[in-house]
Order: sequence, then C-alpha cells, then structure tokens
Amino acid sequence: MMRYLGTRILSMIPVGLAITLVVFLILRLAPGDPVLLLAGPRPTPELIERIERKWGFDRPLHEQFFRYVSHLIRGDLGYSVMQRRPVTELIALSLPVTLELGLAGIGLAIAIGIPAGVVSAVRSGSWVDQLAMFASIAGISIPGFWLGLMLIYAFAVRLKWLPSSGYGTLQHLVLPAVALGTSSAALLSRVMRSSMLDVIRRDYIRTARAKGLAERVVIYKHALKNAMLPVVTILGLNLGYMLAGSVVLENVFARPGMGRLLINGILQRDYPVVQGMLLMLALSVMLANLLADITYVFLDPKIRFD
Amino acid sequence: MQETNSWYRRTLRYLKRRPSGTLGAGVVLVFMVVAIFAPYLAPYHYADQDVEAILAPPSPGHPLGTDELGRDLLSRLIWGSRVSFSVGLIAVGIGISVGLVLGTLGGYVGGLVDRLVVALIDIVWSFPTILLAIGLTAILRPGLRSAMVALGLVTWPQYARVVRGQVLSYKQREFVEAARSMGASNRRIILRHILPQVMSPIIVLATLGMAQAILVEAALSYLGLGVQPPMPSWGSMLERGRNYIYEAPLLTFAPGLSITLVVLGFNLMGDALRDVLDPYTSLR
Repeated sequence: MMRYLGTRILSMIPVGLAITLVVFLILRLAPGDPVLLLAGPRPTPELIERIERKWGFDRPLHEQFFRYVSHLIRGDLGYSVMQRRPVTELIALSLPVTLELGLAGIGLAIAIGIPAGVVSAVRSGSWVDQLAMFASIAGISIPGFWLGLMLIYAFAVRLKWLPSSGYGTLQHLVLPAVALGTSSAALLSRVMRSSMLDVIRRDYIRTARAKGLAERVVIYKHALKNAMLPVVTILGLNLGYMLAGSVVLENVFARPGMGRLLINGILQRDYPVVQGMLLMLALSVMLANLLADITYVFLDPKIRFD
Repeated sequence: MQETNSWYRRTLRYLKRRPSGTLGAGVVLVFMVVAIFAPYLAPYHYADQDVEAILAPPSPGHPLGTDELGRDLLSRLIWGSRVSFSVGLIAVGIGISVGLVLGTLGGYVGGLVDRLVVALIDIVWSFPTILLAIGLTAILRPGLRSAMVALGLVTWPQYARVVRGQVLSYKQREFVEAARSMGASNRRIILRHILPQVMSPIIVLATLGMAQAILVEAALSYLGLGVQPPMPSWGSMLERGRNYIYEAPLLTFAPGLSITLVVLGFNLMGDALRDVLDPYTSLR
C-alpha cells in the first residue's frame, strides 16, 4: 500500500513539471517581447532592467525555465504590475474564494446526483427513472454560465430573494453553487445509476435477497457500498472540472476568485497573474485526481498490495 | 462495402428503436440547415442596426426584438449558429486529425514512440479542457480562429487514447497478420485494415465532441476570449445581454436556449450512437 502511494505521488513530479513547463512557455510564446509583457503598460527603464536581471531573458530557454522553477520553489511567482502586488499575495486572497465555490458545488452535486442515480437504478425503467435520466442529459447540456444568468434573472432580478453578484455571505454562494453543481450532479447521477444497475445484477445481491433481508438493507448496505467505486473516480475528475467551471462562473457572479483574476489577467495582458492562476488551478486539478486515486484504493478491497 | 452497409442499417434500425437519439439528430439537423442557409433565412444582416428600435420588444418587424444597438435578435441567433457549427466542426476535425495520427503512431510503432505519445496524452489530459483552451487563446490572441485551434489542440487526447487502444488490439489480430504475410505494406495495413475498425468509436466521440466544442466556444466567447464583435456568437451575445437582463431578458434567454438545444441534440445523438456502434465503451 505504502509503495503504491509512494509511486503514485512520485509520478506527480513529471506531470507537475510538465504543467509548469506549459505555463512557463505561455509567456514565451505569447506575441510580443516577454520583458515588455511582464513590465505592463507603462514600463520604466528601471523596471525593465530589474525584470531582465531577475528572469535572465538573455540566457538560453532551459536556463530561464530552471530559474522560473527555482523562483517558484521559493514561493515567488512574480509581480502583478496592474494590481501592484506580488502574485502569491493575489493567490492567497483569491484561493479561498474559488475553493469555497468548488466545495459548495461538489457538495451539491453529491447531495443531488447520488440519490437520483440510486433511485433511477432501483426503479429502472419507471417514469421516475426516465424523468431523472432526461433531467440528467439536460443538465449536462445546459452551459453552467447560462444557468447562472437564468438563476440571476429568476431569483435576483424577479423575486429579489438572493443577491445577483458579489462575495461574502452564504446568500452570495447559493446561486453560483447551483449553477456550478448542476452539470456535475447530472453526470454523477448517470454514473451512479449505471454502476448501481451493474451491482444489483450480481450474485451476492441475489443471495442477500434470498436470505430474506429487507430490500432497504440490500440496497443501502450491500449494493450502494460496492456501486460507489466508479462514482469516486468520476468525483475526483469532476473536482478538477469544478475548479475549471468556477473560472467562468466567477465572472458571471463577479466573485473575486482565481478565475476572475485569470480572465482579467488575460484581457489586460497581465502575464505574471495569468501564469500564476493557470499554474495554481492546474496543480489543484492534479491534486484532486491524486486524492481520488488514493480514496479508490482505500475503498476497493479487491486491490491488494504486497 | 458489405460491412459498411450492414453497419448503416443497424444504426438506422436502432435509431428507430431509440427515439431520443432520433430526436437529437432531428434537432441537430434543424440547426445545421439554419446554419448553412443563414444568409437566406435571417431577415436582416447580423450587423444591421435599426436606430428606431433599440432594445425593442418582439414585434412583427423584429420577431424576437432587438439588442442594445438595434440589431435584430432573431437574425443574430441565426448567424450565430454558423459560428457554433464551424467552431465545432473545425475543432473536432483538428482534434480527430491529431488524435488519429498520434494514436496510430503510438499504437502501431510501440516502444519509445508509444511512451512519448502516452506521456503527451497524460499531460494534456491533466489540464481541464476549458482551462487549457483559455491558456491557449491567451497566447494566440482572442478570436474565432484561436478558439477553433485551441479547442482542437486541447481535445485530441480523447481521440488519440481510443485510436491507440484499438490499433494496439487490432495489430495482433489474425486478419492483420494475414495481410502482412501476403506482403501488404505498413501503410496499407494501417489505412485499409486497421483504421476502418477504429471509425465506430471515433464517430461516437466526434458527436459528443461537437457538444463539448460548442459549449466551450460559448464559454470562451462569453469571457471575451472567443469570437470578437460584430460577429455574433451565442456566447458573446449572452455576455452583452447580461447588461440588459432587466429591460430585455430575451437577449439573455434566447442565445442560451439555442446553445442548450444544440448541445442537447448532439448529446442525445451521441448517447444513442454509442449504444449502437460501441457497446463496449457505453458505460453510462
């Protein structure tokens, strides 16, 4: 077990490095002089000199990458000229905002998707199942940001129950979380349903029924536990997509998270911010996948290590 | 040809049995016709302004009303379908081309080449699609062409993975061995014997890929990174409509509904196709 975890965690290093390389290259491949891009719209000669000295633009590319990584390890992600702050400070401010939305979204997806999938599977073919499955394919097809706009129209503009944008209170979290969680709930319910259907047909479920256990015990104690495995994998993958989806939704709901900083950074050509946010978001996705893999190993008794 | 024919018939028979797939195909077909004949169907050009009617409600002259510049909403929706379809088709085309070449290369050649292909797939795969697409448009400069290229370059691993797996498994089969023993070249074996077997899963992935590409393009355009004005994209129309959500909710409602319907159409169609063509990977 420990060895598996060790290899799995070590395998993150090349992927992490590759992500860093991609993010590093974004600045070099962007049209224009990277020094001027880093210096922002009003470059002073001193600033240009400082940037050149710090990142070594006259050096070969691999040396520049090495330098970038060594700055990174020391927690230096550069300086946002537009915001006049170090990028790490911006991350510290915006990460909790993004995390809050992501966790609320995934919580909602679990709370809706898993029961819906179980009910669909247990009553497979009934009208409940058909309704749930249609709702789920519709849920996957609706763009989250449009759903967000519709929720704003209904609950903020018309009913005036909830704020249309901003950040801070629980009320501010409700609409974006629903907009973010819907497609994941839809996906989860589909996976849950097919996994449950697969398990219900197994022999041990027939045995459980045959020995006279109550249907409720059969479903919730025996079947659900085994059917959860593929769901966990999808959940881990989904955590990544949640973070990515929050990039768009933060812009819809004007939440000051990493996604909003990322898009503003791109539009203002504030490249240190773009790099920092892309790096943080991609690394979080990587960690989420790692977490899902580890959970899977703990849940699945069939995986043995020697 | 016999093979293709029975495959075609099987599909048709199945679509009849699964009405949701036929419904999806119907929706897609309607939007496709609209996109192709947009100049003839749209009552106005997408940039035509009617200064007499700014943010006007629906009327006989403007069936869905007008936007903040007095442009006809229905016409812009119709023209917008062109953007969605062309982005979808070209992005999926690029994705399939790259995926087919790299997947075949990795699966057929094996060894170090295969390891490199797999590593590349893993790296691109570890970025969520929209995030990488956003990063790429940042390099390429926001615009329609960047969105297409970025989407293609971001989605190829899903095709490459399947192609590689299929090529690996078919490479060992008897009919390939037989072809090889009769002196067929690698090129001929790949093109005539292996790739035709790979087509079914690719068709399924491409259908679902259209849905994905249209969704991501809309998101990019909403964020201002995709299609630039005055060309109408459903995503950028939503972004502008948001500012007038109180006075003219239709400006926000209609483009979003169009996106949802097209994407739903492709998803329904892809789901049904997967059950027919590719029963082994239909996990949902």
